Amino acid sequence: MAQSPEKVEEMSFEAAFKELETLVSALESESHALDESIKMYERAQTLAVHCSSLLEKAELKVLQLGLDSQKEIQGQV
Amino acid sequence: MVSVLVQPALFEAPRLSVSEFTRRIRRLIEGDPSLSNVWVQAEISNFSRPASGHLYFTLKDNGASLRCVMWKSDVKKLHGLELQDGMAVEVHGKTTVYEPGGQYQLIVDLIEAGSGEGALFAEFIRLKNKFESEGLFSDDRKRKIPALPQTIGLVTSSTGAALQDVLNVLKRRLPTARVVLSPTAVQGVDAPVSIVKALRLLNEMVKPDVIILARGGGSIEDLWAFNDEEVVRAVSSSPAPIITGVGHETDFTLVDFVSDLRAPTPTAAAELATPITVIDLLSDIVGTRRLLDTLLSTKISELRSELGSIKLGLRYLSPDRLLHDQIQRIDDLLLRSSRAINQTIMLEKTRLRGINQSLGTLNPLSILERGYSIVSRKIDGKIIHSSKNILPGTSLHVRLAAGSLDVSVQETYLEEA
Repeated sequence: MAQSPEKVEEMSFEAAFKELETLVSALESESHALDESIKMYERAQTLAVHCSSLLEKAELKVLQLGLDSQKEIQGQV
Repeated sequence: MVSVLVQPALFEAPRLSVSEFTRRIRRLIEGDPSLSNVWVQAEISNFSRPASGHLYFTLKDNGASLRCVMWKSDVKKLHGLELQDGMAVEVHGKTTVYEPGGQYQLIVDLIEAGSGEGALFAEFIRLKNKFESEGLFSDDRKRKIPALPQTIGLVTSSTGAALQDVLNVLKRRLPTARVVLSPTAVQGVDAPVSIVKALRLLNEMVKPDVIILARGGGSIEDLWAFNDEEVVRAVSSSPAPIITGVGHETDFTLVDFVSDLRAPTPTAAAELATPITVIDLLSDIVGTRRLLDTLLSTKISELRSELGSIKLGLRYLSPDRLLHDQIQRIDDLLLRSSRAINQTIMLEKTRLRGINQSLGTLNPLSILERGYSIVSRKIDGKIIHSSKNILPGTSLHVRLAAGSLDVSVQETYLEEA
């Protein structure tokens, strides 16, 4: 488990998904106290819901590299 | 030309049908031995192979082009040589006229690659051999394409169709990704420098998880920048893995050999860059949540059954149970002692009854029951055994079995009356 659990709502999809995978495999392979298991389970469920909602509202972000700065070219998509 | 010198009147201009005209051209061309058994050196373009199995292509050099046909029956003589646009070849055949089209063409019966390679093709082979001998195409150099890229770098023209193709695929398959376009020229003299720079910028400024290097279809000249030595080396040394999607399926450029993954088209490159799609992720998350539920309820039921067996063990150790044991032992003792006491009592009772019986026979009072009585002198209670010394008028007490009497003596006798 993460030493300092990040707030789930603020996590990026990749970070949330990665922690979700870690939690599931920890629950699968290691033995934990019941209250810890329940805590892990609840956090995993929160992460899963967060991931799904991020996926459902995701929109491809497209940036264009300029010579010295990045500018958005959303209109291209 | 001799005919010009002859009188014009004798040679009226002929009036011909198109068919007749074409037939004459045909006789002229097909009658020329130098055109009916000839080798031609050039580069193939417009290559096509329709369902009929005949091959159609155009031979081209800088100044001219020549239509060619190879009949299906001669195709086997190619011995597996894969013809494609841009390939430099030597072909053998005879020249004919295709009357319906009004076109002359070469009927090809032999094609050879090698000795007469065109400049571009020769250069391609030279570079390919060079890179190959340096080990740039080796499979050990190929890096793994990440399954779930966060940032996808895109090196292509900002105005080409390839950009839209790639973006459409990425938008559909993995909208969580961030795409960074590093625009570049993809053809012309400046293209190689531009591509190298675009790759370098991307790797330095963005450090993407994967890079797509793409360009739509074109002729071998159009795609030439992707055979450029500097471009090949830039692709080979890119810190981020690169997927190439250059031209169409049949186009091979040297960057395709050196990249980590070659896609047949820009669209396919975008697909290969996103092996896991948003649909996969969503269904994965649904499955994960189900797994979580199972894991937790398994955990709980394991704990519950563990608890059950501990409870069972505890019951054997419980003081309750010890108490019950003690109570039972006490009950047992009580039972045994009461049984013993009863027996004693019974014995005592029997003994007592015997004693009582013997007592009964000795009790002087029991004689009274049989009608005897005890007479005592009233004055001093002395029991009277004889009438002697008793004077009439003496008060006597008579004890009967039931009750007693006080009487006075009327007469005394010495003998029984």
